[in-house]
Amino acid sequence: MRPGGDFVKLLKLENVSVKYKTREGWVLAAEDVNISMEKQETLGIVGESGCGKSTLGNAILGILPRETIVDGKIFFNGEDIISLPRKKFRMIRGKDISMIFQDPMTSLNPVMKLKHHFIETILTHKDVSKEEALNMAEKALTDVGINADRLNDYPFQLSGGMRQRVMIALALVLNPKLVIADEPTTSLDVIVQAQILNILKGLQKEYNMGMILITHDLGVVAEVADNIGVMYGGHLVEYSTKMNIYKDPKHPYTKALLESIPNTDINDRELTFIEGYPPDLMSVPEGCRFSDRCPKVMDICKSSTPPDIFIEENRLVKCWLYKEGSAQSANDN
Amino acid sequence: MQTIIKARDLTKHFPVKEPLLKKLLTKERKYVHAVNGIDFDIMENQTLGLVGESGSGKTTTGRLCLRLLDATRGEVSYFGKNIFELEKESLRKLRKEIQIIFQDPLAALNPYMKVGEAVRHPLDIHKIGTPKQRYEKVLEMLTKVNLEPAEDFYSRYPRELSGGQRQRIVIARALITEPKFVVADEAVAMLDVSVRSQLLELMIQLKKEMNLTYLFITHDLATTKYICDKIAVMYLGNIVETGSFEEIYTNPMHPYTKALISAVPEADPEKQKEKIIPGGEVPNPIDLPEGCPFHPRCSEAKEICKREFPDTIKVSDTRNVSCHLYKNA
Repeated sequence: MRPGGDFVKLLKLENVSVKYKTREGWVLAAEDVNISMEKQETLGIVGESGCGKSTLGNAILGILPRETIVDGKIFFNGEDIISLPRKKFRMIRGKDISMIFQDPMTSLNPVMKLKHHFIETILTHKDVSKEEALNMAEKALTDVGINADRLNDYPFQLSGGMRQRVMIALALVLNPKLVIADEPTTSLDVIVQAQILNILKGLQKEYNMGMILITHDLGVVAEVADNIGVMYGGHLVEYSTKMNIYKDPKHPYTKALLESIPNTDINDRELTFIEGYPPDLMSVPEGCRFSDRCPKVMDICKSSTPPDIFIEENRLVKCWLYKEGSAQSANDN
Repeated sequence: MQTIIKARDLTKHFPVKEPLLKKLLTKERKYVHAVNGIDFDIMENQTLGLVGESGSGKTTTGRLCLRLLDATRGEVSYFGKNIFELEKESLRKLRKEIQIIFQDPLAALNPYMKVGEAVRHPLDIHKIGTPKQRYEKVLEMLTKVNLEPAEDFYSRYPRELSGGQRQRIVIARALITEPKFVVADEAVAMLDVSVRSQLLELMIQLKKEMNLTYLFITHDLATTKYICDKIAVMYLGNIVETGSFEEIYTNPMHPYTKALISAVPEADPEKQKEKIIPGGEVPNPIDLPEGCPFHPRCSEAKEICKREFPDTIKVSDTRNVSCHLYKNA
């Protein structure tokens, strides 16, 4: 560990870019992302489909396809995990950093009993007997509100909400320091979603872990996150505390996105939306990725990509309207 | 105002597939009780929102209204005619007037068919107009859904388009025969938030221009506010409550509606609310609970709820609730 001990951030991304190789050429799914989080923090990453949010999560966990190029540095507890040898990374993945995927049906093996999922995960990382592993599995399952008898069931015998709870139990059974939840409630109904979010929040406190919540749902992050990063077209366009993002958004995209979600205010019947469509990452616009849909577009936006501008400490806006250290936008009156 | 769709005691039970031997040995057949005797009316030029969780029977209800499925019991009448009694030829004619917008535009469009051909297809089937008139009609429709230049979009394939554009094509195809009644089954659910509101706005605008009546099926209560005149909440194949968005949202009466509304996440950290989360899981629609279908999860359940199915109580002209907690005014 670096000098400074506990003051080291749990996770720090420095200029992380991810490129995929496809048949039609390279796709820049994430570009120059800088973000960090503290221990026990919940970081929400929001954006629409194809904005690079899942790519970022997968890059941290090192589970991108082989032909992918990841540039930059990812520090986990002060250690650059991108440069770690594969074998050493495998010791971290699943144990210190774990993941909750979106679709619990495809993430659980249909021909494996639940207990074997747990035993496999535990024995890969821990030198314990099968009985001890089973005891750990029972505790993890009870923690998410499922009767330990269900360990002998197969995934298809459970409802969608229960399967997602099993996924959570599996991700947390080794007491990770960081859990990455990629759209953990997207395929679930609202009532089940509320149940799952409650469980996640409760367990996060109990287990003292950090959590990255990747989602397109601004309602979900409003409930759970401490800090929020907004992504658009592979760029992290804004990062700040939850209150700042919702109450005083700076980036035109964040503003437009917040206005375009259907709210439940009965007096507000006006539909607002962003013209156009999110960019196709195969052919992104020059300069700022949002420039072709932005209501405040300027000439410079179309020619060069805005830098990460810190208008305050820990408050980033990637937009030409802002200047370092000033929360006032250039064309605000 | 005329009633365009009237459903009475509408019921659909799907037989459960069982092995042959079991079928031969046992007399008793099992059924999935998807829709259980629901009543509703849709007035001309109005939009009824059907809200519920997955498995509540809302999609089945939508398909019954178009006779894409036959009902087990009950009727749906379109301008007073029971659509389940129509002969083949008159049903074919009716299909022009009732249409559906599907949820997943990629699944609803043939990948080998050009956009223009897909939109023209209903005209070909119903033999409306000459080829030239059809072509022009397609261009007009593409322009209406804001896919411009229309000639350009005509010869493109669905895979070349974004999700929002594809859904515009599905809408164009549904509306090209100038229907009166359209079922929109989770029409905007698959789209990104920034695009979802665009499509919602388009549907509202087309409704005005073309005098449409919608049955708007959704799991997302918040979107109904913009487009629906009336909302019906479904749970396990029953309509538990009906009313306007305002009524349902500010003063939910049925315990299930209360839970559903409290569970909707608010995109505002200052507006977080107390959640009422019902215990347990949605029961299996094969073996429905006796009495009120919600009673095993209901915190306000009484003795009577376990025995008797609640009657529908008329609270006001616009408002119905089906729960033992309430009595007829």
